[in-house]
Amino acid sequence: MTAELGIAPMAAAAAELSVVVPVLREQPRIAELHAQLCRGLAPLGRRFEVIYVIDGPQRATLEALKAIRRQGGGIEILTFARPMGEAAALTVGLRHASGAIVLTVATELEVDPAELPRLVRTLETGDADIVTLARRPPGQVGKGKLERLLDLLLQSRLEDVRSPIRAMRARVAAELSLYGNQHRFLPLIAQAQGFTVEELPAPAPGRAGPGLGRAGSWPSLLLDVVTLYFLLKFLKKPFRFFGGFGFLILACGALATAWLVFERLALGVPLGDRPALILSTLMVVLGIQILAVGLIGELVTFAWAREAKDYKVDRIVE
Amino acid sequence: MSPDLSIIVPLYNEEDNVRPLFEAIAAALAPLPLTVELLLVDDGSRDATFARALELPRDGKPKLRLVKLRRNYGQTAAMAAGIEHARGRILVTLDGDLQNDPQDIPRFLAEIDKGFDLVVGWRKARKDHWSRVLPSKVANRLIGWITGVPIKDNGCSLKAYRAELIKEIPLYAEMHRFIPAMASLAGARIAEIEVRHHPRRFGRSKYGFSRIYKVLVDLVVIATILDFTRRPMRWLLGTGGLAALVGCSAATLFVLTRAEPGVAFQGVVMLSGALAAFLLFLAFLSYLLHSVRTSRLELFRLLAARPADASPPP
Repeated sequence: MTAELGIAPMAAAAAELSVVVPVLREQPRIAELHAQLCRGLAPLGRRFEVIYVIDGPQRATLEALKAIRRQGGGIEILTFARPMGEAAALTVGLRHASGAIVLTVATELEVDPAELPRLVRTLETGDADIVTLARRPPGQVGKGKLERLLDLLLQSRLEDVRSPIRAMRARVAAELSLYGNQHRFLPLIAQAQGFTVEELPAPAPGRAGPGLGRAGSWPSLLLDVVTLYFLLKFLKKPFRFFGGFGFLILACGALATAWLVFERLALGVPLGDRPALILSTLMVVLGIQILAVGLIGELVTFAWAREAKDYKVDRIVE
Repeated sequence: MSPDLSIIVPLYNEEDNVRPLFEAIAAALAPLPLTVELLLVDDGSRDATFARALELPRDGKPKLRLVKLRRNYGQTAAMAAGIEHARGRILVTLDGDLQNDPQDIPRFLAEIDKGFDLVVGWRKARKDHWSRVLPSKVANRLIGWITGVPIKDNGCSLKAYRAELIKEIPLYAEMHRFIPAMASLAGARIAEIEVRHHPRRFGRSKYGFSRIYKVLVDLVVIATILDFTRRPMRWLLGTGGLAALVGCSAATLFVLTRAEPGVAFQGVVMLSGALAAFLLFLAFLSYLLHSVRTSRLELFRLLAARPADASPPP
């Protein structure tokens, strides 16, 4: 078995490269994945560690990984007692990584592992802080619905935002903190924190990997994107967001109410029994409520502004 | 040893302006008997701004410090970064586009010496197109009226501050426009002096085409913040009280006149009652915020109080 692994990663010496693999469900073929990773990374000739973060009680996978560890593979296994989600698993993995370069991959390796060295070298030679590997060549299958939505809302130019295969510098790994479904948008969140992101196009026309389209149902997708939009654009100025909706609804409601009152006074249309009056008042009420909530949001931002800085300093030259 | 004066200049894509700016500042400050540091904040420029800044002479007159931000965050954030890293007792900010004249800086310092905490520039004769000047005049009037701090030119970047004051003012989003209003929270004594204004020589204008919606929305925000720090949420309670009043008076009217109110009218009464209750609970929420963050707001009050014999109020 060890012979098959190629250059066995060394456990004791400090790793130059860390690979983080969130394990979300039982993986009967985890040993095969590990072997693939090792074979793929061997040409780089670096000492590397593989960090498996097992999200929840996946006993069979855990046993398989322990078996690999007994054989001397430089791997670290972290487990959550109960499922905490992919974002949590990824964040914890990134925090434990000790290499100068951190790779993340998924348990279904949707690309040829021989591509991984190319990814690492691109990161090392370029200026980017994160390099992601698109899982399909541009224009071959077309973008997913998520990518199109993100193009529209956030002007993201990435072909494959959701690609789980990324290489990043240690300072990115040390700083990223992901919640909820944010792992899907990792490159965009890193960009918002001031890191530069580069996307490596997939190799020559291959087949699109299996399971490429799974991004959840439309409603949850839409919710994710809108949440991200709010997070990236309005976190420091919430009233721009709330105020837009609030003033719009309030204005509609006020206009409608004024029209109804005008009709009553000028044209004598009875007002007391018109359902339209309830609707217009409801809009006024809703508008005021949204505005009030937005103002509370602004106060939170103001009160915490000193702790959560707007900017990240790259360096200071004295 | 900390310098007497820190000059903070945010730069965004100003490669042609870096050297002239440095020379102008150095020339303006050379006669002053002060130790000066110059902080150039590169706000994620895409051109050679930072490289040009690195080439500037480092003979300590003024002492040069370069702060490079990771990406472009906007003028307020760049200023905030400069202010955070400045070590001087007095801070001066100005634009990186050479439209402000560094020759004015000594006059600002003189005002600070008189006992003012904040000195604001007023570009009396602006050298910009009227389409930029007019909206900003209207905005300044509005800002003065709503915040109660009548400054003629909130958009002028050339300002001088006492360090201990400006370092406590939270600068985020596009709050640099409201520095005087924020400073008034700390009871700052504010002076306004006329400054020279030059047309742009190099590069294009990047910042400052203020959109009406943004300024209006920010005004509501700043008014709320000012109100909140003095008396938590008079607004919410006021609006809530109004809604309750509308509901109650309508209900009383029906009871007194024994009229048969229409279904829709009943709905309106109930809705205003619901709004009143909602706003009341939000007001409680804001009290909660206030008490959790008292220490943050306490600073303003501490800054506002000062020994009576320090310097005569101008």
